[in-house]
Amino acid sequence: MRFKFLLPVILSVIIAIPSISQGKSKIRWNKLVEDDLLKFLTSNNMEYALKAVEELGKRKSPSSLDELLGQLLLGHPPELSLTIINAIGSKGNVKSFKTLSYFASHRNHSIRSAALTALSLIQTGKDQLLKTKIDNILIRALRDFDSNVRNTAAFLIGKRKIASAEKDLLVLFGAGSIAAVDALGYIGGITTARTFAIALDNKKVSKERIISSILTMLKRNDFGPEPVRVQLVKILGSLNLPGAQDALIKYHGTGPEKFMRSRKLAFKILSK
Amino acid sequence: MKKILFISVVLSVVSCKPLPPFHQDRTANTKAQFKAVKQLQNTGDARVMNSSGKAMIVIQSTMPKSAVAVNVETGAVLWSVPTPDANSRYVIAGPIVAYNDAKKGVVALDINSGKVKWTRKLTAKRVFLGMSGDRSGKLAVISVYKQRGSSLNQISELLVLNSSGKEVYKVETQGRMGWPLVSSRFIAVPYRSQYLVVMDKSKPVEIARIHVKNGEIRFVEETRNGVFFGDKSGIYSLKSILANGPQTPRFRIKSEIRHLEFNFARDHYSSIMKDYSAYDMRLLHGDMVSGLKTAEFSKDTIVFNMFRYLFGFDVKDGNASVKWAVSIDGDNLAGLQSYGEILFYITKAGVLGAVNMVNGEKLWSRKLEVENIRGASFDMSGFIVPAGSPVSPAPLLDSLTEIANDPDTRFPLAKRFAIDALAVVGGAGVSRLLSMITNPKSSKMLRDKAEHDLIARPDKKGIPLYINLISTPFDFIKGTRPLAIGVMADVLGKLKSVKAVDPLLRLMVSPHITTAELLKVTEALLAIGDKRIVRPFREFLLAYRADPSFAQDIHPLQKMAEGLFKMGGSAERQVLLFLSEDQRTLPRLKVYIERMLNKTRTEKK
Repeated sequence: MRFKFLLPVILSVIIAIPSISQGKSKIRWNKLVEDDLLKFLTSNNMEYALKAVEELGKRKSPSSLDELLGQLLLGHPPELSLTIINAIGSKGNVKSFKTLSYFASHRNHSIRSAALTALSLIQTGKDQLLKTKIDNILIRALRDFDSNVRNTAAFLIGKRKIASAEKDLLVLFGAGSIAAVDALGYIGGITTARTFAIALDNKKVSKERIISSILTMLKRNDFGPEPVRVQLVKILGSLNLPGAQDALIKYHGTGPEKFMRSRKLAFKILSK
Repeated sequence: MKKILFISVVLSVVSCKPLPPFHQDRTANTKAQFKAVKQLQNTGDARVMNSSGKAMIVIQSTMPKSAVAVNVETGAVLWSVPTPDANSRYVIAGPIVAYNDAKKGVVALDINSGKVKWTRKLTAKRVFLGMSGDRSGKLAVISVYKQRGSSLNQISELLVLNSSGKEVYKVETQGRMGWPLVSSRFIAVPYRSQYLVVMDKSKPVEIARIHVKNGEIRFVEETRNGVFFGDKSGIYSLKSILANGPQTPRFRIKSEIRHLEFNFARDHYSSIMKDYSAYDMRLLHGDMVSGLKTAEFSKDTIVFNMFRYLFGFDVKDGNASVKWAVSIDGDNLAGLQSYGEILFYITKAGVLGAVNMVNGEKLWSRKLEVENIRGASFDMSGFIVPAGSPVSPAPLLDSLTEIANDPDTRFPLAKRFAIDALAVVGGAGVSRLLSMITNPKSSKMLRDKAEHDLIARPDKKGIPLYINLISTPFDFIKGTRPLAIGVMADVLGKLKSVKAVDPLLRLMVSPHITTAELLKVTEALLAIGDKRIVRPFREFLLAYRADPSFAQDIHPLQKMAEGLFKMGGSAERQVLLFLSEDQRTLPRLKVYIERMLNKTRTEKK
């Protein structure tokens, strides 16, 4: 073979091409210093910018948070701003409160929603004042004209169990918000129970969601008193729906210990 | 020689014979003429025109077209006669009601029974223009012939008929005549727009010719107070002219309200106005009187009728200011006529009513047994309106607003007039203008006009109201939002209200205002020029400098950059420099800032 020396060369090129092309995107983000991450963040390449932001979000250093906050304030396209906000949110640092509050009023509804979520992740610890401020921002967001923002706010309110939002959530429930139904399960009291009971009679309302929310309410230790629980159990028992039966089973099985009467009633209904 | 002398004398006598009536070479405004007319003047007659002596109204109904005579006091229909080919108004003259029939000519109906008394065809090729009558039944008919179709070569004919239809005399002339007034002792004919020719009633003799220098003579009317003539924008009193001469000024009015149409009477030269038409619903009404120097209106009151709306005016020293406004509910008007201080009207559905012209009170109304009314000739002088419960008009601003907001789309001119009146009457009524802007029931026309007026004449006293409007929060649960943001921003910017800075800044950062509103708010903040805007502008500019939602409408950001440039310090210059250099800044914003910075650099050089 005259050209036998060429064969290994050709073979090595064939093998090397894929690995060379892969090597271009094989940046080891976790190995880069923050300055380099910043360069990628401000580069022309949006894919790299997003990756850089994600990496900065994972870093625990205070400077990574400062960089992210600084970049957010310097202004970037919405896609990148969203990622920055999520990265800031994942840190849960109180320093980000002011900046995130500003972006909770952003003209882009996705950014507003992301900012609300990031705010809710701030670890306020014993700082009740800060906690109240965040709660108030979330409650105010229930009045947003964008439904996505309202739904996000409702979800976060339910998660944080902000009881003072019950009245506003009931209004949104009346306007047909499903997120409000879910949230009310976590914070609703007697008024909510009454509203749900009336709504179950309304054929236009999706009953499954309300039933799920009622179950959430019943499973809470702070929901009561017992007679209200009894009424709700009776209502669930009167509904000829699999979801209602399921709720009764779960309530009987895992409901709060101190509300035995209503739990026993649930069992009795199921036994019939 | 004697023969020549004799022939000369005869020729001179012949050539000295008087010029025929309406001849263009006849002189006008001579003292002798004025003296002659003065002697013929009477003090005005307040009686009805018809020989029955009772107040009546002759209505033209449609489907089929008929003349219907109604006794106004009882509301009873006296008679109804088909007049399918009638193409003129019904003229009530003593024992007859006359009209022009397209086929038969002038037709006279008996005032008591409606039966046809006589008909008289017009001269061949003549077209009927108009006619009037007096209490004896004498009629003066004007017909015209346009040679080669041109009004420049028009031949007009005055035909005077007695109550039996016999010709009293006929005069033909070159030039335009308008339909005349048959007074008790003379006939007054508008002629060539500039003259009022006074003719004898029995023979074709021109008694006098009045020539006015200002305005035209396009109508002549007689009321209980005398004879008045003029054009749509001014009136002369015959009495005043005869007393003071042709230099007597005419009565004119002016008003701050735009679109006030000055039509003191129907145009007697108009072939449209010879018949009932919508023009009947766009006239000024009032009780004309002869003042010391000129014509006037009794109690300084005139009423402007615009379709089914009536607007009462005070007229002092020629300035008209609106004092009341009413609308005749639910129906179109078919005819109106004023007698003294009372304005009578009839609707298409057959409701006869009366309004007090001084204060706008609806005094009385009665439903007649006639419907589908096209027009009406009133003969109600001296009719005493039955006592009842007068209905006062609503407060002026309320009634003007109601007219402006009338959902009936047929009368945009009337609504426009009401809006213009509001603009003048409203004055410092800022809250009224604001309510027009923010009321969802306001028509677009009214809202636009109110916005325009508020911006053109911003009132400092209204600042708390403006701020209150824009301070309403965006609230989905309560269903509230700030109102009229753009307009309020314009007004507050014009007033340079420092108190408005905080609410405007809150609006600026709200996610719910539109880009157009954002621009207005930014411009207002720049106009006010308070330094507190620098930081919010900086933050906003940075937050949105790369946002593609502003790519199409970059102006708010450009304005903010301008604001930072003018009002900011070195920190703001740094920010602008960064924006102009960073690749992520929206291109149009980048270019704008670059130009701004470059301009400074070249100026410094």
